[in-house]
Amino acid sequence: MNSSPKFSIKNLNLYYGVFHALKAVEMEIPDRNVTALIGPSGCGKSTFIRVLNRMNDLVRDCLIEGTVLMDNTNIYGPGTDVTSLRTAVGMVFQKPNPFPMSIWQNVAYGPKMQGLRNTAALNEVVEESLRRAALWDEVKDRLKKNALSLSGGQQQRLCIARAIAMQPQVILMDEPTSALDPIATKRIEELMESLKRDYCIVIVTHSMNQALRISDKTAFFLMGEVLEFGDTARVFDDPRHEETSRYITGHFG
Amino acid sequence: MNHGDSKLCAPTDARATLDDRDRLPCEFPGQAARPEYAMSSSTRIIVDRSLRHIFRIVSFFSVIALAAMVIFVFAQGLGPFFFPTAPSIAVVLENIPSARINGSLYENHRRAIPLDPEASYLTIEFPLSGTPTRISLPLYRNVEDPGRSIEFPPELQDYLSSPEHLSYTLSFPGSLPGLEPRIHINIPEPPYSFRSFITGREWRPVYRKMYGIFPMIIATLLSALGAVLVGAPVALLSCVLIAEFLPPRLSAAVTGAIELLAGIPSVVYGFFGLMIVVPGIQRLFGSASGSSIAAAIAILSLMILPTIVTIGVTALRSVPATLREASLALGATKMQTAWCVVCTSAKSGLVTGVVLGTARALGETMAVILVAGNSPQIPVSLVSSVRTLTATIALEMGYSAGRHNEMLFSIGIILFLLIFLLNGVIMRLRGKMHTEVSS
Repeated sequence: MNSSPKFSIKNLNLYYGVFHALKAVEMEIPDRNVTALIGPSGCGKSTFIRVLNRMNDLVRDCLIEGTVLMDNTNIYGPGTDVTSLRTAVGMVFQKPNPFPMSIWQNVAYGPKMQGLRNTAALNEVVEESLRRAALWDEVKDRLKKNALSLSGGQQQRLCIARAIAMQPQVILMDEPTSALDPIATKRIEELMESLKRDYCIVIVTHSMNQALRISDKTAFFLMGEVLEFGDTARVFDDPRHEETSRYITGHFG
Repeated sequence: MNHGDSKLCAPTDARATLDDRDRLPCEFPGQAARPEYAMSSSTRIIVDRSLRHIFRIVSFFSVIALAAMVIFVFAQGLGPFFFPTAPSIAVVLENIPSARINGSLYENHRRAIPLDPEASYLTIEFPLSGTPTRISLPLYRNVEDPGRSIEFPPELQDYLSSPEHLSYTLSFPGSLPGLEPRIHINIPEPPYSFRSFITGREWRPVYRKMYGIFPMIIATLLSALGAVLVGAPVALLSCVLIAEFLPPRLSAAVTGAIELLAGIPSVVYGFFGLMIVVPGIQRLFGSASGSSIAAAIAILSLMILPTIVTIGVTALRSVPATLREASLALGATKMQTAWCVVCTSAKSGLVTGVVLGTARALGETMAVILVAGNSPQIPVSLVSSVRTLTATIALEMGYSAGRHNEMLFSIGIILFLLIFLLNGVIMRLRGKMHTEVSS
């Protein structure tokens, strides 16, 4: 385990208007690991993951207190450039959401927006990212085709490729496989396995098996609180809280 | 349920449409288990079927209306290009109680007297101040210029006048002023060539019987084009501002204001143009009159704003929020997201807005009449007074008669064609947008 955590969250409170969505969250997310966030619907997992790349800034009436240190810099400190934070912290969403453009354009979008204009360089980025997302062989002959013509699983891998193209340090995944069939899910899980060598991955999942299979650390959220956080094996084998054990065994949620 | 029905009651026909299926009046075996409040299948089928018929009838109204309009305009407007205005030369007698024309006697005849189309001469015998008078005019058929199909001898030239092309009047001195005996001879206009209709530069329908609408086509196209060039960018930028950058309340307020703009009657736009824009242009360009194509463009670009903005904003708003999130999560700025993702995704909606705006600019009549000056000439500068196709129809329909009237319908046909063309463009663009990345 790496010595210094990628993210270190201290006393994080988040409010949507009067609704207290995250309560005094404390967490240290290690680099080059998969951290899974589990918990019943509405418990704040997705809200939490969106704290890490400041996507909650887009939500009106959202108030955030506390500190979120990424490599010892407070990303909520004054003077944080949100767009460059988001280039460093990529995100994959629950439903595959490729842009209605060609496959090539989808992957090249991020670098282009950062100002990369050289077509050769872009081609290289596109190929590299698609290879890393294990999609290259399937789409190399039709890069000019509309991304929406891909299957759901392929679209999700395209979204991962699109995130990788930014060469981020962190990839956040918000239930990336919930809309996919088991085979596509398996491919994405294998992909995460290989990606975690280079990236810090944070994944929200509703599947206990998935959390168990792929994650190194697991956090259990309940009603906006982190009830339990630790090594996955430990959380699943020896939960400290009764709610955790009831949730992972499927007795409530 | 429908599926079950068809399997049980009908020979399974893969091509059976939904129609066929729910027309089958049979009950699903699970019927007994259905709750009491459920309608019986036959009631539902009857309700569905009658609703469908109502829909059909109601929606056919628009189709019928369109078809009726097309048929009417085409039937009226195509005539001048195929038929002469009358089968033969016609004579009208004024203040001549009795006359013998080519041998037939006409007493107190006030309507036009058509001649035999085969006749090679026109003889009129009538008493002039008590003396029997006889006029004999040779007629020529199949001449190039129909005006030359009749020859007036020198001794008649003193009495002859030709108030309009192809129409001659012989006025003789009479007993009382105002009651002079007159003979009007009207020569039919031959079929007008479609080419000279489209490319002719002279629109003098009454006196010269010239129906060239080229200047009006140019004026219509240029004013619509100008309006789109000025109005569309403004409208599109407003769309992006409203849909992407304004806070919701302000955005709703601005949208409301723009929709209100769409509801203002066009004559009010014209009035505004007449009082504000026209004098402004006069002062700006120092021209004799401000009524010009520039004024038309200014007013039209204002008028197409609401059309483009309403459609454009709807298109931009319908872009899923997940795409915006995806773009922002990739570190794109809000501005980049708005242009590169939202506008790109809503492209076909935006194009639709612009094309509908263009159609509005092409079809606008009242406001243009008030500000454009209405001279049927090819514009040479921004301050040229121009007349559009629609303005011509509206201005002249009231007093036109005969071929002139039909020609106004022919202009209607041209407008139809322009709109068809525009619709064709919209379809092609849409098709292209759907296939461009997949080809």
